[in-house]
Amino acid sequence: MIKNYFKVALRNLIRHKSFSLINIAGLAVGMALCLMILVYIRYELSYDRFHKDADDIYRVILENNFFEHSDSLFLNIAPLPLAEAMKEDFPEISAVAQFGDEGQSLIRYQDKALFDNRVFYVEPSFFDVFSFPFLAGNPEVLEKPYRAVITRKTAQKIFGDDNPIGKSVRYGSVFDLEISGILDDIPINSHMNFDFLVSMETRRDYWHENVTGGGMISLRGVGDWGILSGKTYFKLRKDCDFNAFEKKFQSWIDGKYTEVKFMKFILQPMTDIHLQGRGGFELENNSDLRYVIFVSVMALLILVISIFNYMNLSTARSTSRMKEVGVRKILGAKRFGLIRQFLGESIFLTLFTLLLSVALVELGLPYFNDLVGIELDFNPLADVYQMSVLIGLALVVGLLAGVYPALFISSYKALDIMSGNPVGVNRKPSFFRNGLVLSQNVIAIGLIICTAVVYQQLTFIGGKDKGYETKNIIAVPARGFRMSKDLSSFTEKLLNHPGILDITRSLTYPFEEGGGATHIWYEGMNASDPTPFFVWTKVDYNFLDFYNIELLEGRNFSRDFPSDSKNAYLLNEAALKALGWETAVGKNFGICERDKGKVIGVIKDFHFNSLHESVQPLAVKLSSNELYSMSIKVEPDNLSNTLEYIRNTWKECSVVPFNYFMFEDRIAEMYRSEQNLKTIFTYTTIIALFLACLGLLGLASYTAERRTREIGIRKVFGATVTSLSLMLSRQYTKWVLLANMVAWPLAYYGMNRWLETYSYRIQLSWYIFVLSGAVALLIAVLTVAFQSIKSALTNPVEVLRHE
Amino acid sequence: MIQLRNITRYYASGSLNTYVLRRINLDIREGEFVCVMGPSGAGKSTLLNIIGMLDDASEGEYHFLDYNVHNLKEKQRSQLYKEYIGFVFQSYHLIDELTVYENLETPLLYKKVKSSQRKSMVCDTLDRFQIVGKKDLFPSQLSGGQQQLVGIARAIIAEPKLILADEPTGNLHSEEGKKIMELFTRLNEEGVTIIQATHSEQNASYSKRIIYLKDGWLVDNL
Ligand SMILES: Nc1ncnc2c1ncn2[C@@H]1O[C@H](COP(=O)(O)OP(=O)(O)O)[C@@H](O)[C@H]1O
Ligand SMILES: [Mg+2]
Repeated sequence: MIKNYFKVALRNLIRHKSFSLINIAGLAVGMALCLMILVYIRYELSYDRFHKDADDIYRVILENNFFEHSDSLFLNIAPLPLAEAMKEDFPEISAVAQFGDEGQSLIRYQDKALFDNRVFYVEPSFFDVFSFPFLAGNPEVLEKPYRAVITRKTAQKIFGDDNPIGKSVRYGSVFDLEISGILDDIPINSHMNFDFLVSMETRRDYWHENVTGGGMISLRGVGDWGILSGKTYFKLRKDCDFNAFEKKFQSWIDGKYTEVKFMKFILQPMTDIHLQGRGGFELENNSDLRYVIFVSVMALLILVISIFNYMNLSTARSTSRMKEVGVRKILGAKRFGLIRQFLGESIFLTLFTLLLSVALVELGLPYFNDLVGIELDFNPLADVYQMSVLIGLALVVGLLAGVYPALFISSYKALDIMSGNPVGVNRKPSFFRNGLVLSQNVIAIGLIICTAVVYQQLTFIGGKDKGYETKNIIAVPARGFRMSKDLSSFTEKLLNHPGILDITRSLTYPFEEGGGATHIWYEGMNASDPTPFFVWTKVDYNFLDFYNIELLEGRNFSRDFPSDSKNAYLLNEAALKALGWETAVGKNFGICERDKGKVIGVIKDFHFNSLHESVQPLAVKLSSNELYSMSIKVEPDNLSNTLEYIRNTWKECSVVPFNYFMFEDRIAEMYRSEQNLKTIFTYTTIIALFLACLGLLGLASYTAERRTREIGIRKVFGATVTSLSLMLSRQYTKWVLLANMVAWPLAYYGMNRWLETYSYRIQLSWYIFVLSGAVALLIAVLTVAFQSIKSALTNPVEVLRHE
Repeated sequence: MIQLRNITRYYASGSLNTYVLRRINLDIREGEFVCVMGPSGAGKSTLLNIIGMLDDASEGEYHFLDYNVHNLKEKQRSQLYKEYIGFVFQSYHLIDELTVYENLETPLLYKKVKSSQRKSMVCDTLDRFQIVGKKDLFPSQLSGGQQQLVGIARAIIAEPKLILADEPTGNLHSEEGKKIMELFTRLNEEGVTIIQATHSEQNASYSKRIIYLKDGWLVDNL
């Protein structure tokens, strides 16, 4: 019997070639896209899962609630004594790792000097919490000072094929490190990335101090607990309940840390970091849970559209199989048998389509990876999870798509079918089909609107005036000059080049956060009050001009005022707000009590952190040293020549290798997840539209096929091609128009909710809605008209002769 | 074999009932070859459908063999006709996607006949109808007469006691029609009861008994 069903199914497919093609292609594309997005989501959710007991690992972060009126600020940094105290006081904790992130550091080996080495200071206990397998050596090697463990990639980069173990490298120009271990490369789905792990003992021994390295903040008057330094991660014992532990921890920390009330301690699961970790001192630019949810919804919608398509077309086609069903019933088929036949056919077809979509994913994934800038792999044969997702997907789609046609077609009495054109046989499915067409178009139009809004919003964020110039700037981290005169001769030579317009230097680039100041000093303060958290940086005289940062009040730093070089400050608008000042010029201010000075000007807020967050208070000082971040403004023409000139000049003046990046690229990098979202959204919408059109095309061609006789007769009686095309198209455009009515309020509501999550957002404008609807309508009309005109043009004699 | 008692069939159209069959009383014994005649719209098909249990009478009693069909449930009825009745249609109603062989095989599949037996039954039938050479062709590749031949072959392959043929030659030219009638005669001689609806006098001449329908009345029972 199966063979009998199979033959009928297959011959039917072949007989209605174009129809089957549309049906299968639509589903394959939809399933492929859905699969790709599933792979992507799985990748995003897989972050840090490679650690053993990943679910039991947490980190301690601080929530700074100083500004009651605005969002709280998260700091991924913890008090210095915390790690030790937690280990002592909580039997629930099996291991604690405290480490410091030193950032990119210069490492020299023989005549090589490499800048891009991410260095962490760690204790051996690092490996009790995290699982980074050793290829050589073991955690104990990090008990001794001046020892380092490196990743395989780093080993390859520095030592080539030589065995690095036992070899010495120079850290900066400071001390030597003995390479004592090699780690396997860090998986790409890790929220932390490093090249060098240097033993914490090294730091203690060399600097004679007990901090972890990396960023450090010290809070006023709370002793050791006021020194915030390093990251603190810990692992809970398997049998320990996290919620109970958290309660216990909170009351414990309240006892330890009494003075600073606006800092709240938060325990964050490590596996949440990649999608929910944001704030100061993050180890990497993390992704965003909202985006993952977004993309998941898109995947679902695409799948829904393609299933609807498939259902729709299958149902349409199934009416042409009425006769078969009637005959089968008379020959003794039971209803259940027919349902089984049609469901089976549908599932068989989706399994086949699945193969196609797998092939599409294999073909498309490299492009997708390119677009999104990550490395996804898709290998269902080697991966039980992917395999079962695939087959599950095909079964579900097959079932969903087949169930309606199966139920509806098997429900008629044999006699009704056999006696020609009984009442109701064609009514029911067309109502159902129109419902599907309607929902498909609602989704498609909704997606167009959402894409337009998301596009606008993300472009707005990406292109929003960040408050500083970003174009035609080459950034050169300016370290490694032996003497300050080397540096000045370097800048002088550069400025001689006609392609170089201006140079400035600063402690940090405008997109960086700079230092944090938790105990600022200002005029009229009450010594016992907590002070707002400030970010500060140091700049050169021409910094404001170079970056086009607007001065709102007062004046810029100037050589005419020698006192500027000591203690003059520029504050931003957010700083004024935090201090509750109307004006600032002339008032006394300091980023700490020792650094007291006067405010000489107020600058417009610029976004030194991401545009997701509002701008924090900033204090800018003038300086001539520690200005490690050089920015060079160039003519856009002949860039490579200019760059070559800078490189050569650098070689003459500096002892370390030349290192640079394009300012704009780095900014783009910061908004990569937005960019990815934009890309995914656009492509998904195009595909959704394509699928919706395919659905319309299929239906239109089906209707035309069924109505060829009618069309023929109408033509014989004088109907024109235009009137026939109109007649055939009207039926569908009606649904697209109706879909607009449904899609608009839905999209409006959804997009408003989404926009609310941004501090800086666009206004929803009505024309997006109208335009999206018009686009959908236009495409629908073109699709249907194409088919309608084609059938209206057929020769009536031809058609009627075959009847 | 068949007893119809006061069989009436009407369709509700608005508040009025349109009567198609009016108080039909009819007895048919096993082995008969009955022809139902009457003008188009007289109710011939309706009568055949009721006898074939594809349709229900609005009123009246229907006894088939030992069963009171008017009291049976849908399921039992379909069981009954699957077992005892074969249908032949004016427009053949073959499954277009199946070959001649596969079309003949289908009713046996629904009767769950075993594969080996099925094969020999199909081959026997192909032989008997002299269509072995056509067994791999699709219906669209056959002439009308050949298609009806297959239709009849399919109807008798499961060895029914009764064949209901609704204008079996309506789409055929007279030469082909004659062949079909001769085939029916032969089948009838082998013991199959046949009821055919037709308005061709020529076809009627093959049957042993002719009944006339007019406006739903059984006019004359010869
Ligand atoms: N489903 C139905 N609803 C209403 N009237 C019907 C239906 N089916 C058949 N009829 C009517 O019943 C009458 C008899 O039809 P039928 O038995 O097919 O006649 P015949 O086969 O003798 O030409 C016709 O007038 C037809 O219009
Ligand atoms: Mg009839």
